[in-house]
Amino acid sequence: MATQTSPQPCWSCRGPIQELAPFCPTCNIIQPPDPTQNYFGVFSLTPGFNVDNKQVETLYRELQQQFHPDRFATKSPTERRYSMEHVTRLNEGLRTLGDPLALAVYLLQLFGHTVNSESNTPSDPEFLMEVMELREALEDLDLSQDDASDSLDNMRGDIEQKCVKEISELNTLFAGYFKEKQSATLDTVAKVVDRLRYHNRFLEELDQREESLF
Amino acid sequence: MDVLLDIAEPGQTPKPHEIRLEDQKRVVGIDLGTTYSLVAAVDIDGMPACIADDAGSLSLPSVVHYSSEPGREPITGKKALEYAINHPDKTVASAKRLMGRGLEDLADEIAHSSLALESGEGGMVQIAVGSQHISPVGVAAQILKSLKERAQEALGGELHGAVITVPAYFDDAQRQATKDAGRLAGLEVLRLVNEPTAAALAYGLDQGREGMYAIYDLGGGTFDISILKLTKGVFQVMSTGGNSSLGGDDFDHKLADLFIQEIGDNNPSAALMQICKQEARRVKEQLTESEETSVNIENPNGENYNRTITRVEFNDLIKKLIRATGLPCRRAMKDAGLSADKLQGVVLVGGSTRVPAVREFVTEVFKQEPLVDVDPDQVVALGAAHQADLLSGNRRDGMLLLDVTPLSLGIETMGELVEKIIPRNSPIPTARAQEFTTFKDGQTAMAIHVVQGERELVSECRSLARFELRGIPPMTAGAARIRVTFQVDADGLLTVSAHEETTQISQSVMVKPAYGLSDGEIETMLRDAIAHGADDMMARAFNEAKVDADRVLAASGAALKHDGDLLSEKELKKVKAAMLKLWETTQGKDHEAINQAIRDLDRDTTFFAQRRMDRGVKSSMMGHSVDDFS
Amino acid sequence: MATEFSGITLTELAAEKVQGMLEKRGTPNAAIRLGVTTAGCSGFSYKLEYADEVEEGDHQYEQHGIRLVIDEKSLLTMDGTQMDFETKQFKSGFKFTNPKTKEECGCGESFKV
Repeated sequence: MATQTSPQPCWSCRGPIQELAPFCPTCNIIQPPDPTQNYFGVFSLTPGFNVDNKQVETLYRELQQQFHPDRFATKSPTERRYSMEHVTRLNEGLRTLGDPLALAVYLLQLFGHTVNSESNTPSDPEFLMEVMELREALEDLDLSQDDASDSLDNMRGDIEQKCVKEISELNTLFAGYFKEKQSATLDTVAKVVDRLRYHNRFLEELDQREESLF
Repeated sequence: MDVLLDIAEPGQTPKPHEIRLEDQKRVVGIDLGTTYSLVAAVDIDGMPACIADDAGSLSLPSVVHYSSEPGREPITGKKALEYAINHPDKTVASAKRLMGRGLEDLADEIAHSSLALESGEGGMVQIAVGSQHISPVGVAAQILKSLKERAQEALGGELHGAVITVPAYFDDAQRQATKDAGRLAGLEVLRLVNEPTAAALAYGLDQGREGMYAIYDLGGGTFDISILKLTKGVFQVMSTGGNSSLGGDDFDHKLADLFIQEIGDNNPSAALMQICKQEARRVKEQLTESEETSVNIENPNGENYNRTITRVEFNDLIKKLIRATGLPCRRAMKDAGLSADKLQGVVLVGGSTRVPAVREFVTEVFKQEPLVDVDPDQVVALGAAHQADLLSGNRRDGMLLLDVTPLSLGIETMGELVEKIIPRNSPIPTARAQEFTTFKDGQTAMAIHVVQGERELVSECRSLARFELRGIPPMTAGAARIRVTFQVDADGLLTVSAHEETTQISQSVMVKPAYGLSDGEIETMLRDAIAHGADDMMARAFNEAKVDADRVLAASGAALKHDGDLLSEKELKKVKAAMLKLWETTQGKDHEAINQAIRDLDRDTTFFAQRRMDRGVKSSMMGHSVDDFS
Repeated sequence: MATEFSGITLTELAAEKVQGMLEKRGTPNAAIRLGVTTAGCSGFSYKLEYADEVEEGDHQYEQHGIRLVIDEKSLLTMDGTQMDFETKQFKSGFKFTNPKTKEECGCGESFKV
């Protein structure tokens, strides 16, 4: 069934606009972004975890050409504001769709699954053990040694592998969810997301340690 | 100055000094540099070119001399430089290093400065010259004014606007200060553009280059590194990094320190320090050409100092400084997710990249010889002029710049830790929200402290603003949901808003971090400084109203063309009369009259809008079967 | 007693440019109106407009196929003026050389006689 929205008036010429088009068909002026559209809609994608980044980037550039504030620099304040809102959403969309962790969290939110982004300590006891081991290994690293950089690299390699594994797990889980629509799958997704988030943070920490070496 | 006229339509000859919408061509790009500044515009062949002064010189020394008698116009540029030796305390150079800074940020600066730096309003540094207290923003405004006059001469009339460049690594305070300086100089700042991005634009102009490029920009006082991706006319900044207090001036300081140490004066006079600094600059420039050069200093307080210095010795002095640019380079490449061998090219920007040791280092870091086919001194101004031309709508070649925030933005949380809300290298404009909660029962207010920087501790980041969110309804700890939204605009400037979400009564605040100068203060300074100040503001209000009127007229015209058949002849006449009335007000001078005419037209077309909507609803239902609505 | 005027002249280059602009405007046979208005910091400023109509009391001159009209009051201050076209690095346009100009304002947009 086609979704049907009643036309909205253009803010400038007050003519009817069907389906919240970004430009008024009558006076061709920029409209505010459609608040009901999600990032998949913005980039003309079917919702899913497996995003074609090439397509997103190409579309991103095309849409920037249309909506970027530079194109509206001589226009009225309202037009400039709408241009900024469109582009803000494009930038946030690009970031979300291009980052597996952000994308997984975004999908969970779209499906109405609560996401606990604040917790720093994992709830899964098995994972908690792993976390503590990683911390210990990092604390034990002697950064004054000549091979400190190599040790950090080794550690990074291990964690990057875990991240790759978690991302592929998420891919399988989401594919399953789109077929079966079982909410239990989302609970598992949330657990993997927690692990991925933690590993990402750990990688950031490794970067900071490494910077302190120079 | 020669006036060159255009042929106007009957009765439309512009008044002298009048800015018309058709004059939007008169826009410039300004490279507001630490040691030199340049202004460029697109010439009549459509190519950007730097504008020379009467003596044919392109660069303006970023130096302003203030007379001790208040009320005397300051002297800018080359002439001001002549005062530097005899009046070092009244001659401000390198003011860019002081922009948007507090005294505590400037320990190193104070050591090398002959100026009396003091803490001014809002914690910002200011300079005491006699009885005057001058802000770095005021100094920058003098330089901009001088460039503006030069450009108006060359372009033959009032400027419509300017793009001003800033180091990519400038924080919010430094950007805001630069924009304030532009406004103070009576310029409409169309956009602040990052220097390396402007340089890339100048480079990408005719070559049709594609791929990843690194822009290594070492100026007088700042270092920037940017990684850009060029795809089909879109310049996408992938990452930036740098150091806003490292530049060629530091090379001079190293040499000057050596001279003073060898002269053996433990308490050198300001004049001697100035002489040493000027000799240091000469020596540095000489050593880019020759392997060695002689140093000659006439010491006003003692024996003259002479020696020979080799490039090897000089390289040794500055080695550490150059090495310090390595980490930001590696970090920027990492942030962009690429290695040196994936780079298509490395572009050098800034006069300090002429130093051979810098070029050798760049080659070593990026594993390739840098590109140098555009003059590194001019490239930023040229790119800015091109961007100004793009923004003014003069050009439709589709070139587009997509820039990023150089530094992470966050807020202070428990334990003086920073919670990042917008990470560095996020494409702008951007907005991001984060939720926070109360930590005490019945807590009704919450302090929000906005910081910028990469470190985890608040004390190690730059504090941008503090504000308090009041009127939170008393609840148990952790029940309130306070949503803080950071919005960064296309100039890279931040606005913060916050509101409480659980209750019906939502509190909302808007904070634009202010650094020393409020909008009101700027307006007052404008009025005091420029006789045309008030006229300028009237002209701006009129232009804004006219832009809006043009939009309303275009909208009404389009509506009539599309749905004019919905009106009777009498109604049509009425709408057209209101449109004509509005058009007439745009030919006048009164922005209030325009706004009134817009409201009148709006009122007279309400019924028309209603009929058009009804038609729209009908047509949207046509072609859909009843099933579609079930 | 009627004043004797020597009139306004137009260089060949200026005539060529004017012709081009008239054609672009879609009125190849229209005239060009010169004049002065009282405005600006030094008193007078020049007027240069398309002229679809000639008004009573206008003086008319023709040079290189271009018709120039000017009202008598303006001619008093502009008599003997030569209109040329100049191209510089950042701007191009018409330039008036008026033998009667004594003083220009700093911006050059207005002048005294």
